[in-house]
Amino acid sequence: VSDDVIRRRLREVLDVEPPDPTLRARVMASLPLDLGEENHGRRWLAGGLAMLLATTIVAGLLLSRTGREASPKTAGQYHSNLVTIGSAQVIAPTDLHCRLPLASTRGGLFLGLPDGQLGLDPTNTSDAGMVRGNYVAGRWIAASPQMAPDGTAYAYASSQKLQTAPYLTAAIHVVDTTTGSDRVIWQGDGVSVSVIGFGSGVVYANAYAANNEANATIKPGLWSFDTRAGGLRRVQVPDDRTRYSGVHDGGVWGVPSSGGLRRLDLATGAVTDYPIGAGAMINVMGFDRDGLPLVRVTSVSVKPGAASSSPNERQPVPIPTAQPAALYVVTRQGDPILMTSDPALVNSVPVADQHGVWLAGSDGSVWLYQQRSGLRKVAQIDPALLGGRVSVAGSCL
Amino acid sequence: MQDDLIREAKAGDRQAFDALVGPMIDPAYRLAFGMLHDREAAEDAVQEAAFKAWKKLANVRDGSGMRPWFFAIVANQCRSTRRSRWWSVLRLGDGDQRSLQIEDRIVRGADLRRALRTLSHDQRLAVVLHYYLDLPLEEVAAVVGAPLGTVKSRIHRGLQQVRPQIEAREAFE
Repeated sequence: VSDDVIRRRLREVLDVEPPDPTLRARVMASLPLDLGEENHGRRWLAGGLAMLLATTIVAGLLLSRTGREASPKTAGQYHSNLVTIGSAQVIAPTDLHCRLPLASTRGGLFLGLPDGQLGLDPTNTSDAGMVRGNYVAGRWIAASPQMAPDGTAYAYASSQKLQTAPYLTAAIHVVDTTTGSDRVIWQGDGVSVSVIGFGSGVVYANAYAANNEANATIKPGLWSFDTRAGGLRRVQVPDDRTRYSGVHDGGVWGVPSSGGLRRLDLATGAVTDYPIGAGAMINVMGFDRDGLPLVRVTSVSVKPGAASSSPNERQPVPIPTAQPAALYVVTRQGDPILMTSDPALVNSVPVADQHGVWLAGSDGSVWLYQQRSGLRKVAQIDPALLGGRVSVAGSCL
Repeated sequence: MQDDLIREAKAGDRQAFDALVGPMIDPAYRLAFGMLHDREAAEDAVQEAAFKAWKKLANVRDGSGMRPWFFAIVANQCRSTRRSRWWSVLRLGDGDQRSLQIEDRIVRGADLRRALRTLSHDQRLAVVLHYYLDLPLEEVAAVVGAPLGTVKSRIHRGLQQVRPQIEAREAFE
């Protein structure tokens, strides 16, 4: 067999998968904006140290002049010029002392606890257009944020349609919670992204095909973005059909096409399946402070009139039969514990903080779930004050 | 010209990097596909390799060949991919070829592809670079970082293993 025959035969079996014509553009677009430490660090180390020294001196001088006014917003602060629009009826517990951010049709609100006072944030009202539904580190943002493990930064995704481009441009932002500086760590075209987790120096996001996939900078799927060095990598998953929707404590949680709940260990690749809610639709809604997943189980076949489960009861078969959906906390052993099957609450997005898990009902009710005491109604707001829907927008500060 | 581009790329010029590496993306994909036999994995390997190349540009010396340097990164990335746990997990599902009839397997090249997969990484890399990407032996040696004699030996041993499948295809036609 001659060399020419070998070449011809190899091409026959290997040329069957031609490269994607957009591969070059995608590869180039995936590069970090800055060079790596190997290049950048060496060259600019000396200059950087000099700049740092100069900046420190100047900043010190400025701070000494302006005093407290120069201190940036930090996590826990809220707008000082809230407009009081009424009061909610506070039910329990009354020992809470914080303000709970709420996003309502009317605008961004803060529910004072235990006084029940409702303050409207004038910087986020329906008068200015769409209400931004999440409050984090002193700022209202439209997309759901993910906080870094050490709390020093949070990440969120944004998208915009540029007039000059026929496709959607998406971006991932990392915001320093101390300084408020908003840094775009990645920008791409033809996809929409949602941030689902923030690990140590890594932001995890799902990419979805937008309307014009031909211009897509990255393929749909789960990606990790390096917040320090820049760049992105596709997360290797064993099953492309699994809907991954949350990262916590080194694992990504999702719902396999076969049903149930799945945890994929991002370091080892180990897969743990929790066979809950067989035959039902599962959505990972978030995590509590201990990293336990909060899931919504929606029954596919509703059986009206069947006995309802009581809250906090361990369910061997967790599909609620009397209600079309229910919220559960899944323990480390894979046991689903019922939070609620109240129709007014099952579609609300839970928010976990140091107090527990907050829920807001479609009827203006505000609830707190704690492992010890279960779900308790904290307050009732007159729906007329909200202008319509309401959701919990962040931690009670 | 290439040295100028390398200097500009080292200074952080992405366009210079694109001018240097961009034309090599397609052959790099072919190299990765030749090593991995999986389109998605090959694209990922090229993307990862380009990322590493961008980060390690300081290691490129003026006057040295950019292509062997970049292909070596791609080859190393393919080696890492094949060693990863996911690769072994995903490959377990690759058993559909077993059900094909012998004639079908020969016609579709499945036997030859499988024979290529049985080669060691070094043998397969040398064969793919020389016979699939048409790189001269001297450049193959530069990519794999081995003496010319070693490269010839790897190719010789590799071809010994795939030759029966090639001869079978020749005979079948």
